[in-house]
Amino acid sequence: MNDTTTLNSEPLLADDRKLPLVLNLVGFERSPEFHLLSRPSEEPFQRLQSLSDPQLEFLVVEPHHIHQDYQLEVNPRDTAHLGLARDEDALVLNVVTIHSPGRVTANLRGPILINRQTAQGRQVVPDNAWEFSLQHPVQIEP
Amino acid sequence: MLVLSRKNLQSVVIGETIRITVMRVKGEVVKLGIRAPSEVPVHRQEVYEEIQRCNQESLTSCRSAVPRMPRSQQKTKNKTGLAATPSAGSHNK
Repeated sequence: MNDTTTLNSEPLLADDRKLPLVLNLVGFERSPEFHLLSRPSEEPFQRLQSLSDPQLEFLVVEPHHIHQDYQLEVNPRDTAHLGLARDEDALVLNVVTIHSPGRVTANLRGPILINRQTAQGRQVVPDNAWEFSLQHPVQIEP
Repeated sequence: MLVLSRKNLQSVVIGETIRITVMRVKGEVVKLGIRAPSEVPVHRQEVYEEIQRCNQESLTSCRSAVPRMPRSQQKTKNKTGLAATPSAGSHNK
């Protein structure tokens, strides 16, 4: 599976370090280290792959590909924990599920918020989470 | 399970750093104030469980071939879509 695997072409981290992300994902708190992998054939989707268990892999997408106006009201507890002071330091990823070849959805209610400067992140429930769907439909080619 | 009775504005202390206070009781709704270090995630249980379920589904569906998104849908980046909420301090869940 790693034939076409490369790190995200855009520099993910501030100084382009190839460090793993340290993420607190809901239900997977025991495996906090992930690589963000991009495969050209799967763009704009990416994969979060656990360092400790390569079988532990999530499909993710940046929200601007799937939602016109995704404005999150992140709770100050979460921004404080991640040390996020500036919008431009934030990388937001949404977890994608392939239900069938014709039905793909993304979780907009519980996004993964990452500080690009520190490579630390956490899956958060924003204060306006109720505005967004757990299964937001993703348009795919028929 | 440890069961404790608390009145309005009374608290429960968990360890040295977590305090949960009954802020208001109205009908069937109890408002809790939770003071915990920011590294401790705090979630409503049903929200935690639905997101956990969603993550689990993504995990099992990752083996499927990834469908293509129409080119027109692949937007270039404009904004981060992040807005901090004005409130600060303790977290009322």
